[in-house]
Amino acid sequence: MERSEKAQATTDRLVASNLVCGYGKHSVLHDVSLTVGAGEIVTILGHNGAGKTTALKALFGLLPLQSGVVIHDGQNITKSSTASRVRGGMSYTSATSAIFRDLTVRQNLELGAFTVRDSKVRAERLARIHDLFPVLKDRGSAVAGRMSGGQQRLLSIGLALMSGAELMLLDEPSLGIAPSLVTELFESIRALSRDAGLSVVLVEQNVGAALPISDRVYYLRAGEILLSESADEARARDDWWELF
Amino acid sequence: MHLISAAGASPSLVLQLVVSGVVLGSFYALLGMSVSVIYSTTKVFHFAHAFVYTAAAYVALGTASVLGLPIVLAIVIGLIAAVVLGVTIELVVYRSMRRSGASSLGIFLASLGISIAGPNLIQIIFGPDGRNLPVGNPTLYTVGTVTFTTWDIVTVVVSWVLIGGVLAMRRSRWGLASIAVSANRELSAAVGISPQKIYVYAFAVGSLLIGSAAILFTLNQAATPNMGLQPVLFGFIATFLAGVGNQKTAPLAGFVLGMVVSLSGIWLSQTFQTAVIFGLLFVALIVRPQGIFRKAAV
Repeated sequence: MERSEKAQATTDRLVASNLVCGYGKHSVLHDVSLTVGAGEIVTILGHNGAGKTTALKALFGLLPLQSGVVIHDGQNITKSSTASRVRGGMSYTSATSAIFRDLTVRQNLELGAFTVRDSKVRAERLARIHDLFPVLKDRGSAVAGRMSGGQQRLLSIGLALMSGAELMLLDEPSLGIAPSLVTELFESIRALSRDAGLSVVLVEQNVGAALPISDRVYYLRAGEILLSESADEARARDDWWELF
Repeated sequence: MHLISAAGASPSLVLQLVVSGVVLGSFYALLGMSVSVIYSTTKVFHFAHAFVYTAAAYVALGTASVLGLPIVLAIVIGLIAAVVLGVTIELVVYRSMRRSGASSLGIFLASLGISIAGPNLIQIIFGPDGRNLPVGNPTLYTVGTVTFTTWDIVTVVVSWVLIGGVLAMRRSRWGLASIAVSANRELSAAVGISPQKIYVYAFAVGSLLIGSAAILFTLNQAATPNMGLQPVLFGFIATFLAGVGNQKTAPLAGFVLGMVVSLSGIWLSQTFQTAVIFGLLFVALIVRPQGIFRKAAV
């Protein structure tokens, strides 16, 4: 509660209004509006096919909008390319292909900072990520696709951090990793948001793991936002499924 | 002429074939690198590469013999023409086809069309007869029983310098970006790389290499309008032997190909060379479809 009030007091990092978007003529999102404050973690809940991944791709510019407006840090980025969104501090981590599987861990991290021209900044970020996730330093020359699922997820977060992202769009980070690691991973996302002011839009099937680290929750059903509430209110429910 | 002469291969013949194998292998290595740079990054079956090859040779010999420019300048103009032509094909043909959602088969057919129409155009302008680059005759060197020419040395040196240059560029910002695009196009867009720009870069580099190969070829032999098809085919074979997407080993596969073809001359007549190449491809694709070399990190 306290956190979300604080976040709303500051300027919103991301404001998406009335997004309509889909594949070809078939629209998947009918009317989606959401906001994310600085340092806030917002989770989108919904069943398969509700349009969660589509929403993230639309916010990142991977899918063209049919209508709607996206404002990032006060700038209208509705028509901006993905590359310019990355330079603006946005990152997107796909559920299924979040790392370069055939490249080494170090090459992956280097590519994460592709838009960063200053080699000093790149080196600083790399050092910081090595501090956060020492395993990425130890396995620097390992081929990314041969690491465990959990290590691959850490790498995907590292890749996003290398770009200097202040707003991360995370699609199902818990997919394919051991339950014990899910908590650990989510705790490090929480810590990044608390300490570094990272904003996160999280799409997650694992509601039990996502809610404890979230500030606010959006319920998405059939391409429309049904309800938005604080994570505390969501935790108090025991009947989320009715909302799906 | 004996088609098969199993025994009786003298040591001097074998040595001569090894030297020819090094020259031919270096040339095939350059072809393999050129095709691989484009194919592994863009996944386009760029058959029009054959036209780029032919155009480089004809622009060079045209500017040298018709306009009378110095040969080195003519070669540079030929190489520039190759790069411009390759990039133009990407920008005008492939990119607009990709935008309108054409399948890879559709793009391949368009490319094949260019590889047929282009040489026809050259034939209309220059006629069907072979034409030579006015470079004069090379010096002949004899070491023991083995002979080779200045052009053989130039072919080997230029091929490997260019291949080395491309492999060194993989460490650069552009190189890393093209590795990323060939590994995962969607993710490379998500980290802020523009795949469109990388495609143009791949076509520019690949065209420079194939243009250089064409010039090296015309040092020794006459250019003809249909000279491009076979080298591009061999470049593709080297690419597939190396394992698709494995840019580092494509030149090595090309070299092995040239060596085997040359050494097959111990037992087989020259007329079997093409059969040997396709036989190799056939066997390799059945036995080791992932490429003839052990898979290493990209």
